[in-house]
Amino acid sequence: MVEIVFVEADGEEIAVDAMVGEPLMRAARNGGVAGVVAQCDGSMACGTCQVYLEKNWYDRIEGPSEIESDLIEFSLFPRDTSRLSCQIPVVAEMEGMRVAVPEAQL
Amino acid sequence: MTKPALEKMTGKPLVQTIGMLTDSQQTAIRNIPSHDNARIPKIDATRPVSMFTGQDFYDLEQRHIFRKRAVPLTLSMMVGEPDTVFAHDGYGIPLLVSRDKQGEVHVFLNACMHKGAKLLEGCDPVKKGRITCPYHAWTYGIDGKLLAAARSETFENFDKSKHNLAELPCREAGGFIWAMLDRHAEPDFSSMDEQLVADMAAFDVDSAHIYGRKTFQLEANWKCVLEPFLEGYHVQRLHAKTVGPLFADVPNVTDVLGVNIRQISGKLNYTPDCLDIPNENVHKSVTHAYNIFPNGVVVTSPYYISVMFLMPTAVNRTTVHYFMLTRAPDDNEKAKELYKKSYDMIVDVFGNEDFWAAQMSQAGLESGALEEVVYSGLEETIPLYYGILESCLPQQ
Repeated sequence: MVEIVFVEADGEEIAVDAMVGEPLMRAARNGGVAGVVAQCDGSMACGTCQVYLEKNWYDRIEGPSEIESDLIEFSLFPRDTSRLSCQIPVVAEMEGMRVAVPEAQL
Repeated sequence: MTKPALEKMTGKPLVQTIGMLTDSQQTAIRNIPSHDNARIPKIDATRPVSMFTGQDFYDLEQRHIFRKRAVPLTLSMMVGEPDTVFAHDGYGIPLLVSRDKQGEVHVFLNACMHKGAKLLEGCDPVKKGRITCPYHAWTYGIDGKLLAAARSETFENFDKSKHNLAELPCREAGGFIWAMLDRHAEPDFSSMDEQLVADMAAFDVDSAHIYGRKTFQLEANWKCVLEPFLEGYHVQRLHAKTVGPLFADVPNVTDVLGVNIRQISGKLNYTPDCLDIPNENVHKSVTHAYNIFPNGVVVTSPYYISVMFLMPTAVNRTTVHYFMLTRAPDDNEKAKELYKKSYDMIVDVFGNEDFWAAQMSQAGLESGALEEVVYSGLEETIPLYYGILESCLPQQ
């Protein structure tokens, strides 16, 4: 298991045990991170599992597809390091990674 | 609310003087005679009852007016900021009204392009950049673009760009949004008269605060609902216990702006001299009542403006969206008290008096008691209006 710390918009920190290979979104949902909605359940169709990665992690993983970029661009709270958490598989090196959650998935 | 939006709303004088109105409005106001000199004409005007009760006439109006020409739909301030959207069902057609990130207004059919499911319910504006269909999670930008469809790889030859939302032509001016209800009809925005738009801009409708709004479902033909806003004849009678005593039993100064009508009248306290009192609130002594063709109504009051959209959904059914606009939000105790009292009063007067009378009238007209309706000299704007309406219909 890999421990990942989600930081909700109100500052609450939720440490989640994630399985290697599962999408970051799944780990967040299983860990009760309320700010990760994931309305389409991980099919990259809704954009409601947006998270903000740390810059070094954002640069390290493969970039977003055009559809993912569109979904992020049209959201109300996009940032430079925004990603859809359904598109990021958990790897062992993520141990201790901190992931911020937007104030709303709109 | 964003800071620039709030500044636009609050950065203007709270009291509107005559000098802040358009030259055309000022000229009309200066033409209001003193009550002693008001001349009430005698007229001989009637209309057949079938205009209000006949399915044939209703169908003609729908075909040649409501589905052929752009109609007033709602206020710009309902989508006052970018990334705002709401569902609009008033015309009996599910619509979405949005303002995208770039500030452009759109009107769409509120139907997912997969299976037609309504994308959004509820008529309150919400901040959103995207809308996800609750059925299969197809997601659209609020500019109508299909951004993503769940498991899109399971559709053979799927071209996302061919499934954007169905958009209706719309335009925004003077604080109003007009739209074509039939997206296949040749867009006709000729009702949007330049002077009308300038008058509405002078009232600052485009930066007004929506203090309150209410939807009424009425059992009346939409023209029965409109008529009280085209005449002063009923004011002293129907409104005897409420606002009637504030008004004089005199005709209006009426101007036709394209196909729209502007009526201006002096209240009971009006004298020509009172227009020249420095810094005086012009709306204290003068009432403006507009018809935005065919079914929009704007009525000014001293501290607020009423805007109504009277939307026919059947020959004897009308949905009314009522809005009370103030020049700024109620950010102090005095304003809170004044606006609340005003809102309660006006919703009572329109709802329990004007709309009530329209429904009573509809019931009587449907009884077959009358063949035609007759209009007095204090109602002369009604036949004027019907002349305009009829000019848009095929000659009988």
